[in-house]
Amino acid sequence: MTLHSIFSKLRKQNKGQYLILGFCISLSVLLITSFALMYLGPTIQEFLPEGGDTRKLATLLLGVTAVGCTIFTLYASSLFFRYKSREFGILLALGSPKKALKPLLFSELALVTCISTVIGLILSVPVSFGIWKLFETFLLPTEEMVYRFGWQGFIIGIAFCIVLTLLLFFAGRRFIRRTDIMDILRAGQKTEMVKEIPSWTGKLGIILTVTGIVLALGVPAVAAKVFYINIPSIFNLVYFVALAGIYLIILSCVSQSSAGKHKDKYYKNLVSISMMRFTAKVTTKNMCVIVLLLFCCLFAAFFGMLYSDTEGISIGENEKAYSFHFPAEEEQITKEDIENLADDYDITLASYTETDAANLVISYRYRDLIDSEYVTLDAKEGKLALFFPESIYEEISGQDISVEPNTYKTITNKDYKETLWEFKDGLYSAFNPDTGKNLELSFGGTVEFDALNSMSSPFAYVLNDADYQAAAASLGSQYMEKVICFDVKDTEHSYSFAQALQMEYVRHSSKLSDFMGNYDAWEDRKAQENGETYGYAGSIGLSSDMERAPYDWKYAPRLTVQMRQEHMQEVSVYVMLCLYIFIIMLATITIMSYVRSITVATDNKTLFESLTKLGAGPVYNRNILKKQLRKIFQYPALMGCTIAWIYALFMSFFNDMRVTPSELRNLGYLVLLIFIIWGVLYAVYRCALHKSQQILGIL
Amino acid sequence: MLKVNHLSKSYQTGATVYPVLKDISFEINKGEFVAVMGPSGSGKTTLLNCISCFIPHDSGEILLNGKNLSGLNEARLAAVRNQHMGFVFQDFMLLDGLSVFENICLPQIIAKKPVAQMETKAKRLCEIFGIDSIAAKYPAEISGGEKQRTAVARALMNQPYMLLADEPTGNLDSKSCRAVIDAFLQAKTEMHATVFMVTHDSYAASFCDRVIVLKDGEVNQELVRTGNRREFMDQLLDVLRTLGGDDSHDAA
Repeated sequence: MTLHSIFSKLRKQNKGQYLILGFCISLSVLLITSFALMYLGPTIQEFLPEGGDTRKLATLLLGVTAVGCTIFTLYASSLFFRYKSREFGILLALGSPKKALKPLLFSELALVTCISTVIGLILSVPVSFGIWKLFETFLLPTEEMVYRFGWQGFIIGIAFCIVLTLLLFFAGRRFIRRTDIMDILRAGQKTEMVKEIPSWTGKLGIILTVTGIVLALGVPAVAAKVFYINIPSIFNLVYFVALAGIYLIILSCVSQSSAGKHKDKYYKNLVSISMMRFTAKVTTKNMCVIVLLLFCCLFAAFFGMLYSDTEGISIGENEKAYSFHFPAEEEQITKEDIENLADDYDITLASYTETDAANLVISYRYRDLIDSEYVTLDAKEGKLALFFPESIYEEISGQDISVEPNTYKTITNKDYKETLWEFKDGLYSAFNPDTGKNLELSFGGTVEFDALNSMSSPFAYVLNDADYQAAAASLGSQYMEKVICFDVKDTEHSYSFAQALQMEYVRHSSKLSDFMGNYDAWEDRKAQENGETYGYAGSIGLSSDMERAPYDWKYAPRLTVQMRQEHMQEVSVYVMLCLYIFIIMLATITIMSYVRSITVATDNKTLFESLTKLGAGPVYNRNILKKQLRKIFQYPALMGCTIAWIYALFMSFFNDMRVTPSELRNLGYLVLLIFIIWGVLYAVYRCALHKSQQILGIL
Repeated sequence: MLKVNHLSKSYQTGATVYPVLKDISFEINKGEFVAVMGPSGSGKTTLLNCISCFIPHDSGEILLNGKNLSGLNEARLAAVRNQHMGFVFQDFMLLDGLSVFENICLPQIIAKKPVAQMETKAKRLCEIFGIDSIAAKYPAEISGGEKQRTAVARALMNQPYMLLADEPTGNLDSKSCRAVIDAFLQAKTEMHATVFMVTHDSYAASFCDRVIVLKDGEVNQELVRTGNRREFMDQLLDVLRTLGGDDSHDAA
């Protein structure tokens, strides 16, 4: 018999401890690798635009996931080391040097980590495939979004395994260093110093939490929208006020130290209260982490809901499902080409219109951020904007409008809400660059039409027919654009046609159309005249062998069915990523709460023995334990969920100073989700209670 | 066998220093069975922990068989604990995943002794302490008295210079308590073991050859047993009563 064989026997006898640790490591590797396999797989990587915010946010979510997984694995390892500490303490007391125990612990850790990580890595492939298929059924509707395996995700998984192993070994090293025979001898008698906390701690905590959240969300929004001041990002430090508040609320719940007015209740729960009070520091810390994790968990879910709000792209009545504009000099696709293509795809065209529109140089007001202040600026003869005559607009849109002479109507999208940067009534004159004719204009209201609104920045405008003729008379063809709008009979099933049309459109585009989305020929001309470099000048590399039309293209076609498809895919990807975060955070919360409950049982074994000696029966002991464990679950669950919901409410409100019906609906879903989380936590509580009763022999 | 010279130990909380052991000196001879008694807070357990080198002392020296234990490094201390000291704790400290026999073998497993010799020794100890019938059982399957006898057998496995026991009868009923005391007496008579026991139990202490009484961190007096056990216990109870009380035991 050797120490090695003794360890091996102890391992067999206590395999439950190794299984728990192994399970947590496997789960954590499985979650992160399957997440990485999906996110870094070729399908999503090709789908997400290069360098875009979406990609940055998704990478951030991957980082958050990794942190969540690491926290719960390390927490599970603390339970393992706790169990190991008794073994080690006894062996140290019997004269075994730490040096001899170190390699044994590390070989055990290596064995558990190695097996568990390999299991996690192997399982991640079928799991990510399974989850993808599940999402495919509900969310990913196209043939383009098929599961494709990518090594990048697997490499991230392996890197995570290495980091996790190193952290576990670091925790093991720390455990060996800190293991002290005296800790083992004093086990069960260890208590913390308890300081009396003032009775107003809880109230102060609530005030700080609410103030922190309101300030963090409200001040930047109000400052920008009311005072036109940009609050620097350092202001986000105000979140620490909310964090301090959370800590104080939990501290006041945990360290309740006086009977107050409700003496009966206090004495009835005295044992339970004192148990928690004497481990106040560690309990408060643990609960704070769980509250924050719950917050992240619900916030991820709410974020997913915001993304899944697909109201943005809809095909309303009298809206054109297909619209594009291009320079009039361009030899673009003709009506005949479009009809031939439609025949190939068995599509019937409807309400086809083809018209010209004039780009005039506009003088307008807009807002910019200068030295942290939102300043209103006047751009005199600043840039080009697209103008439609009233009659043409009526023909395209099917709307009946009336534009008074010397006025204009601004074309906006449906349910438009003005942003900080632009004024719908900002335009005050239009100028013909070829004739020099200037037209003083005043705002005559807005018209809503999605198909035309995005063709020009800041807006496209409608003029009275006579005004349009006067302003656009003798305007060179380089300033004219051709606008084509039409519908098809069955828009929903015209996706393949839309794709083919788009490619045909790209093939017909020449150098005349090869510009970035923000390019403006007038600004370019002015820059050249002043000897300045124009930032938006240059080709975007438009070529006929492109797989799809570029995103950042001045003349990108507006094909609603394709936009909606892409939007849905984006939503799917986001919802999938957010749901993943949700699952991981929830897993972390359940494991942490479970481990804490078990720790309470093992730490208080002596206390329960003493209670029994004092005449407490199993029912009394069970009640004490129940109350104790219930608090471990209840306090953080209540706080975390309430704070997350309040945060979501404030976020929705301060976004545009109103709560829209869809936001209200999302807040309702969040309440449902909170109930589901509570259900899950209740199930974990029951398991933890059963196990703790077993440990204390009061089942 | 054991010589403690001018041992002092204090604890510090914030700026306040609490002296626990104040210049303690005594000697224990080979084959002696000695108990340390005293009211709560008198420093009994701290004294034992210092002698065991579980905690460092502030000043003074501890000589085990002439060897100074102060200033030994961790590896040497581990060797001393394994080879020259045997420990018996109040809550037995048996490894739940090992059988009684395997628990007894542990000190020699740590010392990497030959298996045949180790098993023979463990079997003999099982016979001596009457636990051979439960040798294959696990701690969860045996009584408190049996657990403590297993712990005593384990402590004697490497034939240490001294057996150090911290409240060995604290968790036991009177019957089991007697069985444990018998185990110590057996170790003393049959294996010539030296036993140093911290206890608050006058009944257990009345079996000792000598009792060192501590009060406020100092040796208050030493009582040597001259007459029969009953008389010695009465003597102990009287002393403790005058000192301000320790628990008494009426089982005799």
